[in-house]
Amino acid sequence: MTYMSTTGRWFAVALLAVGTGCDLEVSNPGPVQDDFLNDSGAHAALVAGIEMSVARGFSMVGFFGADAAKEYTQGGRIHPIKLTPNPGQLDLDEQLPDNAWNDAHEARWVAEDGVRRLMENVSSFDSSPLAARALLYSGYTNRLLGENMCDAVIDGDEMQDRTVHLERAESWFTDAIAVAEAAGEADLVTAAYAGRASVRLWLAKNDEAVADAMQVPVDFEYRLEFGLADDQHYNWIQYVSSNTPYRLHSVWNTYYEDYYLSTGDPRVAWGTDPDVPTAEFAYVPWYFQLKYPELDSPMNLSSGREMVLIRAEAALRSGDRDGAMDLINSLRTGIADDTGTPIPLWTASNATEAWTALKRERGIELWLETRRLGDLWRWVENDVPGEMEDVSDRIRLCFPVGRIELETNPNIPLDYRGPVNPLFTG
Amino acid sequence: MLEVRDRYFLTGGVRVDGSSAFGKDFGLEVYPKVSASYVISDEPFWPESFGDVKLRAAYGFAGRAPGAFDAVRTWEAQSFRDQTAFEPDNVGNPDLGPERTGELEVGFDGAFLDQRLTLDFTYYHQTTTNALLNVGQTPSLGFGGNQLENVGKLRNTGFEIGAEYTVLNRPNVTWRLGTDISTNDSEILDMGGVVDYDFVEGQPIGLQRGARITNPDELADPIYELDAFLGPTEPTHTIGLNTTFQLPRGITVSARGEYVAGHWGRDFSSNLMAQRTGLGALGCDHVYQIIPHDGSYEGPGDDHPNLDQVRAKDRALCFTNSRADAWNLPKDFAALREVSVQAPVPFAVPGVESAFVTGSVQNLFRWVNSEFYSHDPESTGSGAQITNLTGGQITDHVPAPATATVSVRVTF
Repeated sequence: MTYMSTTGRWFAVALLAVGTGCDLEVSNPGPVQDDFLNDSGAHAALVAGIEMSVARGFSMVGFFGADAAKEYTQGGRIHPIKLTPNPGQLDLDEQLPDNAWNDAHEARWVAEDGVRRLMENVSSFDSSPLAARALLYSGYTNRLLGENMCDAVIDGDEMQDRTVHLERAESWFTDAIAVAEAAGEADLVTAAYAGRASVRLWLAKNDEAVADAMQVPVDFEYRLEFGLADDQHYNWIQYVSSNTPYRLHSVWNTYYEDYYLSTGDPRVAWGTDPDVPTAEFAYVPWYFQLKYPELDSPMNLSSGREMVLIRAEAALRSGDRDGAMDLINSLRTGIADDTGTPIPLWTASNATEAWTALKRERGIELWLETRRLGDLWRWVENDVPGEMEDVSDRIRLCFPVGRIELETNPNIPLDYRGPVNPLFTG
Repeated sequence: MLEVRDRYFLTGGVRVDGSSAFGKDFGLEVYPKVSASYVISDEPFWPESFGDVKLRAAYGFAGRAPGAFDAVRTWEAQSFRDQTAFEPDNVGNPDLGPERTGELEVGFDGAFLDQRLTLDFTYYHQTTTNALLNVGQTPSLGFGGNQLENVGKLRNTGFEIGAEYTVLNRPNVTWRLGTDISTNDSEILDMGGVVDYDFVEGQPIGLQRGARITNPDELADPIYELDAFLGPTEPTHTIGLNTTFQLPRGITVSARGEYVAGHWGRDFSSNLMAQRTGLGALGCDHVYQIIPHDGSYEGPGDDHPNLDQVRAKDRALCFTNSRADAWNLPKDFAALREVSVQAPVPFAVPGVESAFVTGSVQNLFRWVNSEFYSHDPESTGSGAQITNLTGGQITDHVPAPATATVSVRVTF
């Protein structure tokens, strides 16, 4: 009798396995695979993921944009994600504001991909509350991009005018209204009208903007929620401006510093700490914002009060100064400082002063909500009269295409430099 | 293996790899290799005085598979406001396959001067195709971060020399000198059309990019060349030296040092310290004697009465507005790695066959090039992982400690 050696036996087994065509394919266990998100059981987490991405996108745009829009002053640079070395400058040569570009674009993509996935996998898409939320956030993320980015880049494609995002937002909000109505989600319907009103104002569709704004009660608010499980989920306006110990922001040396001192308007409240008098930079007094007292304080995405200002701006565009001033001052009536003294109303003896009132009131009402930079840009671009912050020291009033986008997207010209603020004087 | 006349050797082999990490279009990968050696000094024509020499050459292929989930699009489940939330994780690439490296090695091993000099020399030339590199993804496509991709072609060449020479060989005294020299020159030959910030055709495989200060020594504000290709993140040459003295009474004294050069790295830690008022960066003390780091001067573009005494590079690096990408510095250094003395215990111990006492000092001395501000280029935080060839960033200033040890080795 002859015996096969141990090596020989293993060789024979291997030969048999290969020769008989054993199926050697392995399904990888581990991270959540893409197909899993098509399952109905995953859809709630899919939409929660959209909201998480949206929160991150708004946080980053707010973090960098508020500095550029002079809603606060840079007070430090110690946090690993830093404001730019040249405070307030959205400089193409800096990689730092890339976080805003990247996170805002991821938020848009996640929201729109969520809509696509739900559309393909939910038979009741047209009346699905989850679909309504996904549509609404697709609108808000496109509004965020349209208001804050100098150029539109969608899915790695070529650059387009930024209004493409706003038109896209308008379309998503329209879809959200229909689906939310069918789903019986009244707040989502109102939020979608509010969102659409804001982008229609940008697109100079005055009558339609006003019609949408009229659908929104003055006391309505639709808020973006933040989380506490990870610092990526925080409201970064609060996180990095507080003594954690970053103190990166200060209201010092802004319009809102003086305005709050003179009026006590609680909408732009800020405070001081005698034990910590300066921000991280020793030469910057630390005047911390009080709008967002907690790490997860929500941020308004839309409000009925913003709708009043939309109506006021539309009125100013059509030459109705008194009507506009009534609307603007209606927001101030009933607001008092902490002693109970009402804040003063705006007065305007001409159109320019009325525009000044509108510009200031929008800044106050929408303070630190990612909206100011876009407002400044469109007013400069359209040569709108009235006073606002002096932006002649700002290279640009929008985020240029991000560095990583430039480096990885072959459709962006290599010599892209981004638009320069026409008022920039160096 | 084939052997002829104990002089000619030929070895061949083949390896077959399959992996579930490969994309769907990849089957089994075959990696053949062949090597040959020739003891030329055994030939009749070789003069005995030329010593012993073996010539060798090898050519073969090896592969590296991607990670288990690199080919798959995945999402990460997070907790957001007490509910599960999915966010993009890995964009995935169904076409992902292994990278393949072909390497030619030629060299010789020799012993000369009556075995007093041994010398090994190897030249290598590697070409990697379908190289697996972590390529940055386009943010507007939704999945940020990096994705392992098979891109283009890489080249690595260099040589390695090992030599030892017995300088003195007396009955009670021996002195040996040794050296190890290695070089590496890498280049990305082709990116296959992929555009990436860290991987650029014609540049080293690990590339340090950043703001180059073109007027470092001028008493003026710095002028930057942004995104300059500064150099590789891995050393291009390393020279090791060692020596050993064997003295009477069984005493051995040895020392080992190393010179490492050609690589660049970002001192992120110093950058943070510079940006923080009142703290300041290591290596900037001489600058702070002129302008205190108290916020009275923020950096280039700002003014200060003593500014005309501060050179451009110091203005760029030492103050609160310092650019992170200007803190990319050459990391050339030399270090005395170890000095040790070993001696036998000078008295007999019953039952003990032998006993030695060894005293050694590690990291006793370090020389750092003058362009590097901090004290130790080796105090890196993140090394070069196989999928992250842009390592070398210093995230902590904790150097390798200088240590002294005494040990006793006893054999029973």
